[in-house]
Amino acid sequence: MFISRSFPKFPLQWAIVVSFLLQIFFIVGLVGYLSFQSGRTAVKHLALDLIQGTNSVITEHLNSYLSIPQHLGQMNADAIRRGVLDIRDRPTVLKYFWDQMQLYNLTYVGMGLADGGGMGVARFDGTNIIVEDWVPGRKNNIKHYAADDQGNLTELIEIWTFINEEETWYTNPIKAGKPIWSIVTMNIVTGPYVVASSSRPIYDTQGTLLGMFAADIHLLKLGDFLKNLDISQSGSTFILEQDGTIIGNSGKASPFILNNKEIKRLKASEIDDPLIQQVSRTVQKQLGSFADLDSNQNFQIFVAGKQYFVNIQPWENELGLQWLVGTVVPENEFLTEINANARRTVLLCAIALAIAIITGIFTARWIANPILQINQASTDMAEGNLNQAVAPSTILELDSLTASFNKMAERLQKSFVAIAESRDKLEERVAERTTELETTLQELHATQAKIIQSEKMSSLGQLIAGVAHEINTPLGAIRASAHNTAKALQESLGQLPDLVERLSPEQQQQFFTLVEKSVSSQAKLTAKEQRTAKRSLIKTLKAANIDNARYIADTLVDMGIYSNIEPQLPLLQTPGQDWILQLAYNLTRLQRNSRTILIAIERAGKVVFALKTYAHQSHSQEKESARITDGIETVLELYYNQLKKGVTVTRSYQEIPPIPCYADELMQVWTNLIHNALQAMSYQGSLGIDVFREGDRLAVAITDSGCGIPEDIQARIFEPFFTTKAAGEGTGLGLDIVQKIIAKHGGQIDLSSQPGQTTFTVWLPMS
Amino acid sequence: MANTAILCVDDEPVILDSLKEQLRRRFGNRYLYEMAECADDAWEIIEELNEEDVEILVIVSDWLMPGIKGDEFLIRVHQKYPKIVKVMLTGQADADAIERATKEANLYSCIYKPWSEDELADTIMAGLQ
Repeated sequence: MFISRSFPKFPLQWAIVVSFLLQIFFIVGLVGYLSFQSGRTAVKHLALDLIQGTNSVITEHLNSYLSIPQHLGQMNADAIRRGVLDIRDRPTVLKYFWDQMQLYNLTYVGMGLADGGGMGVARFDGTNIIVEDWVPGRKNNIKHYAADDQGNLTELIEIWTFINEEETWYTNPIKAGKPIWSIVTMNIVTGPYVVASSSRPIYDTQGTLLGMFAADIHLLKLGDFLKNLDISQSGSTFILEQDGTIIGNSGKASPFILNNKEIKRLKASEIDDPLIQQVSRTVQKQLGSFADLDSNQNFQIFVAGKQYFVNIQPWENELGLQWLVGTVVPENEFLTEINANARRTVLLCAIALAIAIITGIFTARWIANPILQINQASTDMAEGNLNQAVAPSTILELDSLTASFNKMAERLQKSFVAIAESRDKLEERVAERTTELETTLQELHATQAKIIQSEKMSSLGQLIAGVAHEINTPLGAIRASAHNTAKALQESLGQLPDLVERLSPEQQQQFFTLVEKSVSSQAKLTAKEQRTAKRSLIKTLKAANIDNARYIADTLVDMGIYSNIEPQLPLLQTPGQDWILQLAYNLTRLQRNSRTILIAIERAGKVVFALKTYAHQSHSQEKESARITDGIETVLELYYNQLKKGVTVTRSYQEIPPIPCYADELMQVWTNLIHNALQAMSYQGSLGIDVFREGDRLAVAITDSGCGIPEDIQARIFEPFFTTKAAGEGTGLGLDIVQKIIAKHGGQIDLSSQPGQTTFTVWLPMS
Repeated sequence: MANTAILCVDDEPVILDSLKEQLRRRFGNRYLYEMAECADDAWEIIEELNEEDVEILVIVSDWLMPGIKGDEFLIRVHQKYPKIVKVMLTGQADADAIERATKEANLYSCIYKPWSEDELADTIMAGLQ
């Protein structure tokens, strides 16, 4: 799986087509090669057989052609010997020769007589027949005549010299005493006269030599003979003497050349024919020389890049001619057929290949198409077009595959449709809910201002109880004190004369000391401390044997006298002292009630001021410059009643200039925080208020010694409607509104809480 | 020697001071007058007087006090001392609280600050009848 990454990727069709093609290429190539090779071998054998046969045909033709001069010699010799032909009747003999010349394509037919004369018919130029007649002599003894088509002499052409005894063709057979062949070379007027000459001695019945008969064939005529055999267009046939001298050849090159009027016959290695030259070289290389060639030889040569088959056969006749006959045929002459064959094979292979490729492609498509379709369908599906179905295949496995795929695609589409439907529904529901929520949000926004206001009124409402109490309490105290003062004054006015009349100066002194002590008493004891003091006084009084000690002690305490009453004991021991103490009580109560009234008025004044400040409604949306501590003090004032008992307020205010703020809204913040702090510690403990500056921010830290806020609800206390109070005691909006007001100022609120120390810190920007 | 008492509960010392003077002037030494600044003090006094065999006849209690509120205090007192006449003296009280105290503490009367001496005395006298 992971290996495939390192290989190049290719289409499935290629895999099938390429494997098809590789097999077909291999098989077709192998068959083609083998058939070509066997064809070549067969052709080689065929060629050798053929060339050998050709050569045999040549030698047979040569036999029959060269037998003509021999037969003529035989016939003429016989005719003369038997007296049929009289050599003295020269015109008849010439006509006879002329007829024979007409009959056979020879170069010369004639005879030299023993007396030195002779007669003959020649075709020196190869075409025109002339008649020659010579007489014994040493000079200008021979005459050439032209003749008509009946052999009648028409004109004398020329006269020249011919001496029989000086000619080898005449002397050699006589020497041999039998007919022979020889090559005769003469340079004559009509050109080089190079002939194969068959000569035969003629005898009479007594055996007397009468002359010499000769029939010649020009070497060029032999060449024509080879040409006319038409063995091969681009090949060559040739006849050689055993020493390699050329007799004749089928090519254009002449077997001899004329050099300074000397005729020079050429060897096979000299002739201007590359094929014969190459044959000569090959023979010299393989056999040494042509003379050593004594049997049929086959070999191959290469000339100008072409291969040639060569056959050389020794040829001889009964008259002693020993020649070599050769045939050279180019290989391609034979290969034409095999090449045509090869071409056919190649063509057939090509057709087979083409058919195989087409079949391969179609088969590959046939197999690959369903897979490609599935692939395409999968790709389309991956791109989101789920409506896919692949056509069934006739191949069993692929059909099963496409069926499975179609099933899968169908199920996928169904699932997606279901998902899309549920998504649509969900979107619908989300839209509905969004609309609802938006409406709710709008309503909330609309009511938020109202809630903030009502929370403010709620805070106020909480205060109202206190405020009514705060106002009514001093009023009550004032009213009671005023009434008590009136009574005290009335009573004391009646008793004052008795003071002078009934008490001794010493007792008077003690009385005034008592009153003085009461009036100057600055101690402010709680009710509980007063009771403790009272018990102590009762003991003292009882020890001094004073009756009604409890009542007297109670009175003394009410006068502000809690201890050190020993100096006054004599006065209190005075019989009928009740009125004395009552007078002192009345007098001191005048002063104490006045003080109570002053305190109460001051209290009431403060409350009214605070209430006025608190209720002050600044409807302006603009910030006003205010001193933060003023607002805090106002709130503390309003909470005085709840604070004074059991709560120690510690203020730590830095000197900070007024800052721009929404003063009345901040008041709501302090109210909420202080109220919460007091509730958290059940109005018992210490409340710390620190106001300080840190950089460009102002901080108000309100710390209570309450039980603290559990960690799990610390994060929630700023949430709207979150409350730990019993139902009806709080809206749960307090801290939410606090946070909103602080946010409106661009500030923030922090909380740190642990049992015994909870601090809300409000940070406000200085500007 | 008086062996009955009137107990006043208020978180304001000036109120207690004024009340006591009023009660002394009206009732003289007929009763003992005990002042408590909060419910806890009040309970302490109640216990002490009980030990001294001093019967508390009337309790005059403020409503708005730190800690326990007047109505709650009176209800608890009533549960233990149903005979005591309970009077509420307050600058402001929740209507629900008064109703609850009436029902559960047999609150005799509620006097609003500022009050008059006669109003207070008459109420106490009437309560004691």
